[in-house]
Amino acid sequence: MKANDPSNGLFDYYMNRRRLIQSAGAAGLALAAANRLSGIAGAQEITFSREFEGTTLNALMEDLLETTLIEQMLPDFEALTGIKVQFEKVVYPVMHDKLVTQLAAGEGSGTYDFLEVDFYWVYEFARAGWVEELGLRVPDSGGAIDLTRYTDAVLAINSLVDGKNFFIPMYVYPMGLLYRKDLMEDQAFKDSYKTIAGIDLAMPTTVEEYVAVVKAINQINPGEMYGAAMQGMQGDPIVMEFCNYLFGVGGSFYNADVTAPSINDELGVKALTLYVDAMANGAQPGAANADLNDTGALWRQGKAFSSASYLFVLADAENMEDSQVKGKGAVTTMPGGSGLTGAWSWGVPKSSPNPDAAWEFIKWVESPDVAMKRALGGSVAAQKAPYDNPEYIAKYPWMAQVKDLVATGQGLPAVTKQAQLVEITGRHLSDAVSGGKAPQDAMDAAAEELKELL
Amino acid sequence: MQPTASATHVVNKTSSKRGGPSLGRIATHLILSFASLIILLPVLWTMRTSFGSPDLAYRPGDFWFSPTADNYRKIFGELKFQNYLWNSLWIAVATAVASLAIGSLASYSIARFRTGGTPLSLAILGTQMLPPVTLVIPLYLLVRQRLDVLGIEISLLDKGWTLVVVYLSFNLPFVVWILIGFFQSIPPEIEEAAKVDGASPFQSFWQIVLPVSLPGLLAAGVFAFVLSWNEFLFALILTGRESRTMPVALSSLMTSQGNQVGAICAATVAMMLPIVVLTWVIQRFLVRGLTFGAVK
Amino acid sequence: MSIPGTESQPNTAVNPPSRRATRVLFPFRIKMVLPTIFALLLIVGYPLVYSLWISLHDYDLTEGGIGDFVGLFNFGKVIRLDPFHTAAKNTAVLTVSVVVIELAFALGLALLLNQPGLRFKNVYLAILLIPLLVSPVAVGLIWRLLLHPDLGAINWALNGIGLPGQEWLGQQSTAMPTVIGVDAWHETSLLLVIILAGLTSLPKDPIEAATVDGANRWQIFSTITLPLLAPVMLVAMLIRMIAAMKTYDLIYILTSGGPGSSTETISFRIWKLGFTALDMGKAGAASILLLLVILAMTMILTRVMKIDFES
Repeated sequence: MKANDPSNGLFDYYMNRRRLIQSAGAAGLALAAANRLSGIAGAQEITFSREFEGTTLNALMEDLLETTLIEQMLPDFEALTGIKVQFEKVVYPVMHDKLVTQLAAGEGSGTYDFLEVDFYWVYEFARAGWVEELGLRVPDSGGAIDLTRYTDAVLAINSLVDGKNFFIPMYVYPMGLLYRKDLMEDQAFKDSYKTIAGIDLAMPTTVEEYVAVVKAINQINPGEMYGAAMQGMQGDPIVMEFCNYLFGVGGSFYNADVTAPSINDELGVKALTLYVDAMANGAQPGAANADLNDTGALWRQGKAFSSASYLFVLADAENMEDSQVKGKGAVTTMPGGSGLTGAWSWGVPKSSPNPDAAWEFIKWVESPDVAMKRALGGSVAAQKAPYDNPEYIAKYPWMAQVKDLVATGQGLPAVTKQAQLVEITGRHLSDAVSGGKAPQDAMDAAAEELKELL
Repeated sequence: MQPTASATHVVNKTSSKRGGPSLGRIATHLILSFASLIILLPVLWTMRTSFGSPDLAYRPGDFWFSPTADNYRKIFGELKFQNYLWNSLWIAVATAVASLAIGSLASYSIARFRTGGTPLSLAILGTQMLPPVTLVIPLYLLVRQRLDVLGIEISLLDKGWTLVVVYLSFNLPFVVWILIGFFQSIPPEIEEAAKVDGASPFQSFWQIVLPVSLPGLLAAGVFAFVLSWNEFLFALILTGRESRTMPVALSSLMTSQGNQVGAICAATVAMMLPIVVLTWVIQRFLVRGLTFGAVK
Repeated sequence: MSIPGTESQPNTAVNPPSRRATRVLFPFRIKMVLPTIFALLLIVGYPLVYSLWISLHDYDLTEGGIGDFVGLFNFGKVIRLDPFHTAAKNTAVLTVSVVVIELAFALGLALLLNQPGLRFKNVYLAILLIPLLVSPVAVGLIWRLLLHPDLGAINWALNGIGLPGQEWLGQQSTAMPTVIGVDAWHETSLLLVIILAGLTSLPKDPIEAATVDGANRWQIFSTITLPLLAPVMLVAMLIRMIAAMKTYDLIYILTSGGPGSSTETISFRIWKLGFTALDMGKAGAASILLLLVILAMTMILTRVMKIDFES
């Protein structure tokens, strides 16, 4: 009997089977669709609670792309949970002050339900007892938050304090060496370089080589092309940039068990000497007072061959209207193999009026699906998954480097008052680059003060 | 007594009757022009940059750029700066008026009757000798209390009136001190005359002294207005989205993508607009000069 | 003129009130000051007391709330901090320079503007008052761009006339003078308003009388105008001095206290102590010290002015 002979009982069987398979397939699709709606395609189903419906959450956020991306997706969150979220957007310099005022005012009704925390407030906030230990909530998140989705490096930089996870990583902003790949391949440029430097233009592998390169380039076309765009402004700018030099030569702020400063040892002084040299002979005039605005502008106008700077400077140069360097820039790890990685993470203050609703938000925003969407929108993902997504790399080619940058990057040492560390170091570094002190003296003075932070 | 107009002619031989300005006049104009230029050039630069693309600020020699209204469109259309401008304006005016109302009373009392002696005057001024930075946390603690007014809970944070009260307290000492100086330079004969006519102390203050001291009141009022208009730290800490003022809004243009210079310049130009009104007020009441101060 | 309330032979005060008048006036003059005192106590009194309180305690933000009473320990520590010394020195230099320069300019400009029948007076005034409404934040940002060594308009203009450009804010030697210059650009207008108002309200009689007596312009100015203007000038000077000693916004935007610490002021250091080092106790102590210094300077200044202008 033929299989599809309608009079055959077998046919019924096959038809039934087909229908069964079809309906199973349909059911499967429906299930998958439902899963996608609530968070992931496949594996575990993530759901969000509606028990906080009607709540409004307030948060203080930095005003930039990452925030805007999330803001655009907030209606989804509201649809899922009934929770409304309002961002108060401010700029970085004022965030810390505003937060400290709030948090120091003690428990009770604060204004913000959740926070985004920069990597050098992490120890401060955690050890002062101002934030909840979010790590404790993770196991009950139903799969929305899984710490293995982040590399150890990222967790070390801005989630872990004294072995406990206080924060959930949000995005990273690594620093690396930005350089003009078009110039690296331009024959005329390479010839001019060889004439001055005596050797071929090649990607430097150590900090010394790098400084030699920028000094030579500075002489090729003075006033039109600088070897490096540097930011020597007192405070955050100079310290962040210097860290790349320091880590690049293998130095560090403190010794391994963080019991004594090591910034004034051989390596530290070497890093500073090289840094001062680069700034005096390889960078733009006035670099000692320059900040990110200045270096960014220089980069975008094509007047700098390189810059030890943030990844997003490169990204901005690709997107901003005025940029003369679209498609010409690339980034690589800081010569010497290690640069600075910064990161932001989510935290819930103890003064939060709605901590549980806030946690719902964090679950949602860091769930794999939402995280992937953010990444595709341009976010520099803190999670590992986006980097394995070819679409992400295709859209933002420089993201391919991020994995390396983050893997080799370091954060600031584990002292409570990291902001103070930056302030102290900044003052003495600035002294050194503006001719006030010799490198050894500057580092010694810095070490004196850094000792007190332990 | 000669009428004041001709007194002026006697006092200031500024122009020879044969026409043409005197040397002194020419020098005056030169100096004033030079000073004006120094003030004006950065302002003009700001205006020019407000009509350009973000990087125009970094190209000082670029005169033939094509102007764009993008920055203005951005701050008024996208970022709604007109709200913040309004906030700044009404808060500054309210502060100025309140400071004058309360402060003039105290100044008069101190100027005429030496109320409280040195300690009081110094104490009043002393409240301003602490840097704002120090006052921020305690003031925040004070302000974040939620008040129960007739059963309704109101928050003092993010309210313009909170800022008015706080600014009032910053302005009062200066207003008081400025006005003391002015009240002291008014001859007491004026009030004596009023007393003889049967006026109460308050009446003589209100109807006689105040009008005569208008320049001083204006100066103090302008001072209070300006202080409030430009204040940053407390506006930052005590306001949120509703009551945000211009200085805070300006700072929000210092983004991580670099300072949005074009937008900053546009916003600065917008903030300068009240100067037109302010100058008119000052012209009218402050520099008219000759009609005030006459006793008989 | 002296501090109100200290004169024993006031030259412009009302004749000493009779005893009957005193009883009547007593409530009046007290009533007049009450609103001010009340407002001040409410808003500034509490923070003042709070600052005093925490300055006497160990209050590190990262260690929880206010800690133990430590008496004058914070004060001692603060005074010995090197950055504090540098900041104090910078503040002194800044304050003296700004007060002297701005007062001189304001006085000069006010006198010039006050001449009767001056053409274009309105125009000059309008222009000279513009900086009043430019926020310190904007002033700092704009001037930073203008002073940019490479891409700024100032150096561009200097180069244009053949002079070399300077690294205005990038060198320790030129940073503070540059800051002073920017401050002068910004703050002279305020003093101008006050002094102009003062000139305007001067009584005309003495001047008329002197002119009739044959005095020349300089004599009139030095013996009549200036002394009569003194109270106003004193107030202007005090206000500017107090504000200058608290300078913070401008420094923050222009230089962040750098290069090195060459432009760090006390107010800036206090902010760093409190919000970066998170040591509120020391920040409070430093603030109280600042207050005492300003208070002392105020008293000295008014005493000096009184001696100079006793008539």
